[in-house]
Amino acid sequence: MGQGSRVKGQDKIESIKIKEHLTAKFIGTEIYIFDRVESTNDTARELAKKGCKEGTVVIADLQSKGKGRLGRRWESPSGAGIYLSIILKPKKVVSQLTLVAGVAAVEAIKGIIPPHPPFEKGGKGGIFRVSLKWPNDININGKKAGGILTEGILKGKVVIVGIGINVNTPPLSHPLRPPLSPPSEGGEKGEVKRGGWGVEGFSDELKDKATSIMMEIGKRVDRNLLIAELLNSFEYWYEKFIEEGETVMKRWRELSDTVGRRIKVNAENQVFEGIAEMIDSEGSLMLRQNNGSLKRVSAGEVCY
Amino acid sequence: MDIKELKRLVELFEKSNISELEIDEKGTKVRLRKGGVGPSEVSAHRHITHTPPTPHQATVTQTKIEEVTAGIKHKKVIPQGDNYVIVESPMVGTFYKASSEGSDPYVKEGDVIEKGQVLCIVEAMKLMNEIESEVRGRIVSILIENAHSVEFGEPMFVIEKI
Repeated sequence: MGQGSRVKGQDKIESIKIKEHLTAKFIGTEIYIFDRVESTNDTARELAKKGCKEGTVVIADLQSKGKGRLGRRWESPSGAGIYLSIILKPKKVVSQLTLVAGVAAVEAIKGIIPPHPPFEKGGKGGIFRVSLKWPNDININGKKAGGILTEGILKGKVVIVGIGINVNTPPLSHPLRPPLSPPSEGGEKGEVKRGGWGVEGFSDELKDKATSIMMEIGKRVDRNLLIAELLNSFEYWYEKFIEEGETVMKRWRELSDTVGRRIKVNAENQVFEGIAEMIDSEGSLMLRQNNGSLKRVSAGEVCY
Repeated sequence: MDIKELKRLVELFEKSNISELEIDEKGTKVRLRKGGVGPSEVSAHRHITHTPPTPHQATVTQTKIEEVTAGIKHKKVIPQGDNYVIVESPMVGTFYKASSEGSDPYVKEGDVIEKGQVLCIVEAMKLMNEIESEVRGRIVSILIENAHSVEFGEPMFVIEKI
């Protein structure tokens, strides 16, 4: 952990505090908490290979190599976010699991933050709108605040659902902004920008596109509570998905702002443009292209 | 590529120490391979590549992959026989040959692979599904190009069992 970057009074992730709010039956029966890991998905993978129980959860205060899609970096500064991985052993690997996790995450955030929270000084004021952007982004007021990365391993016998949410990442002008930690405290040399908070919560490349719950409402959120809500919510929506998958897909569509928009999709080394017409029952995006044809996209980056 | 260029390419190839050469240029694929039966063989077809049989494969029936599945992007010949294992995609998604952009591919044609070794990733909705080999063997061919979509059940690899 980048001790130099921890703010006084900052909440520490603790199993006992999470379990105070945990009502899930099998998700979170075993919780491993680390100060620092390269990636919670990788740690979960090692645990899964050793044969851990379904529902085991790996949480880290800091990820030094947080993973985005295809090895892209996910900024995971210390003490500011929730970085966790849930180990599942489903009967079958289904690609909609990423979408199930997205619904669960948005519902958990909405569960603890009202749509019109009492904003404090430093918050931007106005509404607090959490939405899903296909396939796995969690947006708050139109900016990215989280994401899901799911991995199927061991011939599909194990699925690892990785969820990252920017919770208490401070805005540039916030009084809680920590000083820049020296490299010796941020971890390996050169890691200080992602290990600690750097000059601000996000690197320059992300600051206009990314946000955190705190940056939108102006106050800190109890991470232990949000983690518990996330696990409770995930179990509910995962079980719902097994019983009646379409109910979850319907909820995903309601929570998403992708459908109906004019979008660009970067997929298959090309850019496709058109209107996002629908999300089908498999979770694929149906794009009505400018030439009138309908294209099914199962993987790609969406811009709007 | 016109016939003149092709002829020149063959001449250069024959003189070189290269045993196999594959060029994909604007939809025209050319694969040259030395060794096997007879002199170097050449094939150049729009969208279709015929791999001349090596002595080992010569007794095996060969079927063009386009007969096996429709909509495939890169048509190659799939050898058939008990000694060959075809790895199919378990889901609709996008095929990735490496774990991240810029990193080495999990496997290359010609590689000897172990049972349980990861061959590729098929992604759908950010579920990155690792595909493992069920057998120990040698990668004969990789049938899908990186970042292209795959259908459920679409052949992705041909592995010769060792």
